[in-house]
Amino acid sequence: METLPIGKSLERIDARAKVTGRAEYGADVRLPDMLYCKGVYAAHPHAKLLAVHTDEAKRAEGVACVVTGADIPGEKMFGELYVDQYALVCDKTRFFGDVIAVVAAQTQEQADAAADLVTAEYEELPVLATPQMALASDIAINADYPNNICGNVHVRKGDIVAGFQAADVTVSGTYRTGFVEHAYIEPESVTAIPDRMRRELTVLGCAQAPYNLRLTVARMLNIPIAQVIVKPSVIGGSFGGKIESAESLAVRAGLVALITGRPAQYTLTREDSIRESYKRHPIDFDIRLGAKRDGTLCAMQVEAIGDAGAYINMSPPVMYKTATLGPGPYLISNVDYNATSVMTNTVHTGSMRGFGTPQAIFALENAMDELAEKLHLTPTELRRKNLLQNGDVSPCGHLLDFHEVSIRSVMEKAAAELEFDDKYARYTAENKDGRRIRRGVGIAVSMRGASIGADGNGFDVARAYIEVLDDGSVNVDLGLTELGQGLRTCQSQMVAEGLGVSFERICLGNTDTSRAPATGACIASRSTLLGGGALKDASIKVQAIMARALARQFGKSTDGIVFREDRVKFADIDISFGEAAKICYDLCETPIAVGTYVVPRLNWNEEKGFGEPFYTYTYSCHAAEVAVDLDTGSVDVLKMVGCHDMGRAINPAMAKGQIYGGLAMAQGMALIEDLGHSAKTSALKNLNFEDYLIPTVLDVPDCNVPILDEHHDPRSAFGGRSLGEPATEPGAGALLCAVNHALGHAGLIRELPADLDRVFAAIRSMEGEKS
Amino acid sequence: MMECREYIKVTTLEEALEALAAAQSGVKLLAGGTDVLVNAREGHPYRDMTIVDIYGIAQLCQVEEQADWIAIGAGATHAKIEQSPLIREKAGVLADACRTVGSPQIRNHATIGGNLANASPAADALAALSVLEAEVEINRLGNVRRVPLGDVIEKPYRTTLTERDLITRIFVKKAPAGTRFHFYKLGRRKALSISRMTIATLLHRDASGVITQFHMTMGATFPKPMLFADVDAMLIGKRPTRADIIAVADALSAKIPLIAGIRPSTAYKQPVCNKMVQRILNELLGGDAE
Amino acid sequence: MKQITLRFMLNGKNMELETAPNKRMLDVLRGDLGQTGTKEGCAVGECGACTVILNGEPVASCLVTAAQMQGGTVLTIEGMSETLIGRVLQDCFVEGDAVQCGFCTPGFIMSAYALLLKDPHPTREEIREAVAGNICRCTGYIPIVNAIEQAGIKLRA
Repeated sequence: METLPIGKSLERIDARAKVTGRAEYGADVRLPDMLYCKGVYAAHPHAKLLAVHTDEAKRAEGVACVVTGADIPGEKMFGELYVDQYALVCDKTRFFGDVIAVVAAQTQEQADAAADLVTAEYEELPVLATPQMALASDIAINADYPNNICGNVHVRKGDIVAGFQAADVTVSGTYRTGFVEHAYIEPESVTAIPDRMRRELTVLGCAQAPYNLRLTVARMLNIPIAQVIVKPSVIGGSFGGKIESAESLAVRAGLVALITGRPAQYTLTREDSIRESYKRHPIDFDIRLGAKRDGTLCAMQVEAIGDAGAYINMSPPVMYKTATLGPGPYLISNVDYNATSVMTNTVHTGSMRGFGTPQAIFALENAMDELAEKLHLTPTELRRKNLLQNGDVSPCGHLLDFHEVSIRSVMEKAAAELEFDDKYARYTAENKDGRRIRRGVGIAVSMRGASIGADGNGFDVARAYIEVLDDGSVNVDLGLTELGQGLRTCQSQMVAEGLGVSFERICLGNTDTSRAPATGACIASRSTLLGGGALKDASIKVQAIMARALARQFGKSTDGIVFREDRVKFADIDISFGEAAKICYDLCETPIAVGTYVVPRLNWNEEKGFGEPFYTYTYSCHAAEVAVDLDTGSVDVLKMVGCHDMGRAINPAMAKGQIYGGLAMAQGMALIEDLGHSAKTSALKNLNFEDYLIPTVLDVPDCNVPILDEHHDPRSAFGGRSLGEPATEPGAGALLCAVNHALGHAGLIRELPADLDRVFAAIRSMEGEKS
Repeated sequence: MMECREYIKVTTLEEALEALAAAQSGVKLLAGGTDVLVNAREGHPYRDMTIVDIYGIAQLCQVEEQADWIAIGAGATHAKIEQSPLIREKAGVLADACRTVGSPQIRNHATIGGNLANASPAADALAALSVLEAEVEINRLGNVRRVPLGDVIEKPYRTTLTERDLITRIFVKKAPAGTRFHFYKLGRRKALSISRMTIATLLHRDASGVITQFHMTMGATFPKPMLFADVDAMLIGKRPTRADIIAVADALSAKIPLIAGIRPSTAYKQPVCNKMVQRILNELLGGDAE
Repeated sequence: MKQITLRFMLNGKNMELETAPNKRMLDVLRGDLGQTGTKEGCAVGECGACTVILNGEPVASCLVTAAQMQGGTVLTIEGMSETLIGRVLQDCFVEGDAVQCGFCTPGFIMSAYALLLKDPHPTREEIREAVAGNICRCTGYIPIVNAIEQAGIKLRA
C-alpha cells in the first residue's frame, strides 16, 4: 500500500498555529524597550533633495532618534541585481514612495506625530510619469541609463519577414496592462534587534528573500554578513512583494536599532504599503500574428514596453520572462519578441506572481482569438492546430524532448470541464438575438519556465541542511521561506520521501539564515524544483553516512541499501530508521549533511535571443465563463477552471489551493484592480482597499474548479515543478477572451482592468458602429 | 488612534444633549465610527474637537410603528434596519438598501443617523429614504424640529446641521399594502463596494392596475438626495405602456446632466440610468405594459 | 487624554484596565492586552482581518473605540478553542486546507462563528454572505466556504 508522503494531501504543519491566533506575524512581535518607526515620504516624485530638517521631530515627545540617508554608514544603495535603490534618499527623489527620513519613538502614535514635523527642501525636476515621456525626454532618472531604458530582451527565431509574407491572414493591435498591487492582507512589518554583545542584528518580520536581505543590511550598515541574522516571522502572503520592500524596512529599522541599542519595529500602514512597495509592471504590447488559412501560425512579432518605475529592481528579468514565455506554448517557426523596460518617476515595479507572463498571455491569447475570428475557427480549434507536442521546438528554440509536453492534455481537460466548445457555439448563436445580458467563454494557455532560467545561468542554486538525531527524528533547515503557499509542508514531504522516513519524523526549522546555508530565494516558482533537488542531495549524503555506520556495525555490505517508510534494509538486515540513527551515534558517526542543487547550465544565446531559456516548464490552461450586462458594463464571472501540469503534485490539496487562489487573483487583475495612476503627476490615487478593489467571496464563482494533470518531470528530484505563478498566469487572458466573446468581437477590449467604464465604453462604440 | 481634544461617552439622550450644550466650540458626534474613524487617519481633522460618543444610546436605537410613519432611531445600525420585520414589510426598499452597505461587520456597527450626517453622496440608504419621503427629527439643545430629508443634506459631505444638532429619529412613510419596492445597486464588486449608482423605486397600483403612487430616484448620482415630482407624475393615474416607461427613463436620466452637470461620469451614468430604469419598471410592472 | 477604566468580558474572563477612550478596540486588544491574534490589514474596515465579536455581532475592531467596549462582551480568536463551535471551525479549516498564509483566518473564523451561533443550518449562500466582509488573497475563498459548511455539518451531527 502506498504510504509514501509525496502525493498526499497532508495537513499544513503551520495551520494549527494560524487557526488559533498563536502564529506570530511581523507586527505581532513584542519586545521590551521596542521602538516604533514611521517614514517620511518625498513631497515630489522627482526632485533634488537639498536638505532634510529633523530637529523639531527629534525634540518631539517619545522620539528616540530620526535618521536620514546621511546616517547610513555603508553603501547608500541596494538592489538584487542593480544597485540603484535607496532605503533612505540621499540626493534625489525618484517617486512619491521614496522615504527621506525615519522617526523612531516609544509608541507608534508618537512616531507618526513626530514624522509630521520633518520638513525638507527640494529642487523640483520634470516628472516623467509614463514610459513614453521618459523615452522622449532628455532627462535621465538614473544617470547610468541616459535614455531611461534599463532592460531589453529580444527573442528571435527564424525569419520574421518571411514568416509574415507566408501568412494568409494577419492580425495586429495594441494591448495594455496597468500597475497591479500584490495586496497581501498582511502589510509589511520588520523588527530589527541589536545584539547586546557586538555589532550584530537579528531581523524578524516579513522577508521573502532572507539571504538577499541579509546581504543588503550587511552592506548598508557595515556589519559582517554572519552578524546579520534573518529569521522571518510567519508571513501573511507575499506573491513576490516582500523582497526589496522588506529590505528597505530592515535597513531603516536596523539603523535605528544600532543607533539606539533598542529593538526597532517598522510596520507599514496599508496606505504606506501601497505608496512605497513595488508593483506589477504595466506593459504595452504591440502584437502582430500571422497564420495560414488552415490556422497554422507562421509569424509572431511583439514589441513590449514595460514601465520599470523609479528603480530598475527586477525589470530586466521581467522582460526576460516576458520575451521568452510571452510567445506561449505554440509551435511557431518565426518569432520576434522584443521586450524593453523604461524607467519613470512612478512607483517602481518588480516581482509579482507571474513576473511579466500574466500581462503577456493576456495580450497573446486575445490576439489569438482575433486570429481565430478572422480565420473562422473557434479559439480551441486554432489552439489545437498549434499547441506544442513532445519533440517540438519551443518558440525560443528549445527542443522539448525531456518530459511530457502535456499542454494539449491540459487544455482539453480545462475545456472539457468548462464545456467550452459547446458553450462557445451556443453563446455565439444566442448573443445574436439582441439580449442585453450576454455570456461568453474564453480560454488561455501558457508554459512557464521553472526558476530564473538562463538569466541566472550558473547561479541558480539551493542548499539544504539535514541532521538526523539520535532518536531518529530529523532536523531540516532550509532557507526557502513559507509565504502561505505551503512550502514548509511540501519540503517536509519531499525530504521525508527522500530520506525514506515517515513525515512525522521531519522537523523543518523556521527559516533562519544562521542555521540554514545560503540559498537562492523563494521566488520564480523554484522552490519545489530547487529545494527538492537540494534535499535529495542532502538525503543521499546522510544516507551514505548512515550506511557507513551500519556496514561497520553489522559487518555486511550495504550495497543496494534501501531507506523506505521508516525501515532500513540491506543484506539480510531489516531495522527501523530510529535504530539506524542510534547506531550512528553509538559509533560516533555524524549523520549530518548539506545538500546542494544547481540548475544545469542552459544553452541560451543571449545575443541572438535563442536557445534554452529554462530548464523545465509547467503547462497551464485557464478557461473562463462570464456574463456581461450590456446596459451597465458589469462583468459577472460565472465559472473559471484552472488546469495545470506541475509535474508531480507533492501535496494535491495545497496544489489545488494555489489554483483557487490564482484564479481569484487573475480575476482581480482582469476586471477590478486599479491603482489610479496619474499620467500627469505620477501619483497613485487608490491607496487603500476602499478604492483598490480585490475580489470578495461574492465576486469569485463558487463553482471554480482546479484540475491537476500530473506528469512526473524526470528533471526534478521528486517529479514536481512550478505552480505558484502558473496558477494565476493565464487567468486574466482567459477572462478577457470571454468578455470579448460575449461582446461578439475578439480583441474588442484591449486594456486592463476591464472595469465598468471600460467595458461600457467598448459596448457603446460597438453599438455605435452598428447603428 | 483618532486624535481629539476631549472624548465624552454618553449613554442617554439627556447626557448627549448636556454634553453638546456644555462643550466648547469644535464638537464632533461619533456613532458607529465607520466614517469618523476613517477620516481621522488623514490630517487629524478632530484634533481640536470634543468627541461626543453617542453610540448605543437605547433611546436612539428603536424602530417604532406609528399611524402613517415608521420612526427609526438615528442610532439604529444598518443591520438592525435590514433585519427589522416592520421595515421589510412596510418600507422594504430601505431594508434592501441597508443590506447592500459594506459588509456584515460594517452593517453591525454603522448607524443610519451617522450615514446621514456624513452626507456621502454615495450613501446607499439615501435614495431609499428619498422614495420613502423621509423626514429627519433634529434635536438642537432641547429644541426638536422635523424637516424633510432634502432640507438636511445640502451637498456632498455637507448638511445644514450645526455641530450641536443631534439627529434623533428618521421617519419614513409607511407604504400601503401591495406596494412594490425595488432597490438596485451598481457597484464595482459584489460586497464592500461604494455604489457607482443606486436606483430606488416605490410603486403602488390600485386593483385595476392604475398607478396611485410612484417615486423613483438615483443615489450616488446627485449632490444631494432628490425626488422628482415631475417625473413621478408621469405615471400617476396611468396603466403604463412601454412608451410611458421609456419616457420616465428618458426624463429621469436627463436629470443627471441637468443637476449634476456634465462630468466625465455623465457619459456612463446617463445611459446606464436610462436602461436600468426601463429594466426595473418593466420588471415591477410585470411585463404588463404594452 | 483622560483615561477611562474599561471593564468588559473577553473570551469569558472579566477584564479591567485603564486606557484612552479614543483608542481603537484593535489597539486595546493587540496593544494593552497583548492579544495579537486579531490582525490589522487596512485600518478602514475594508478587509475584515480585525473582525471580533462584540455583544454577539461581528464588527471591525479597527472602527470601534475603547469607550464603545464598556460593559461589553467580546470574543476573539484566542477564545475560539474554548468553545465547541470554535474548535470545530478550527479543525475544519485545517482539514479543509482553508488556511494558506493565515493572516485573514482569525477574521474569517470570527465571522463564521457568529454565523453558526445564530444559524446552525446555513446554506452555502448564507455562508458566503456572512463572510463577504472578509478578504482573502491566497485561497480563492472556496476552501474557506467548504470548511465552514463542513463545520456546520459536523456540529449538527
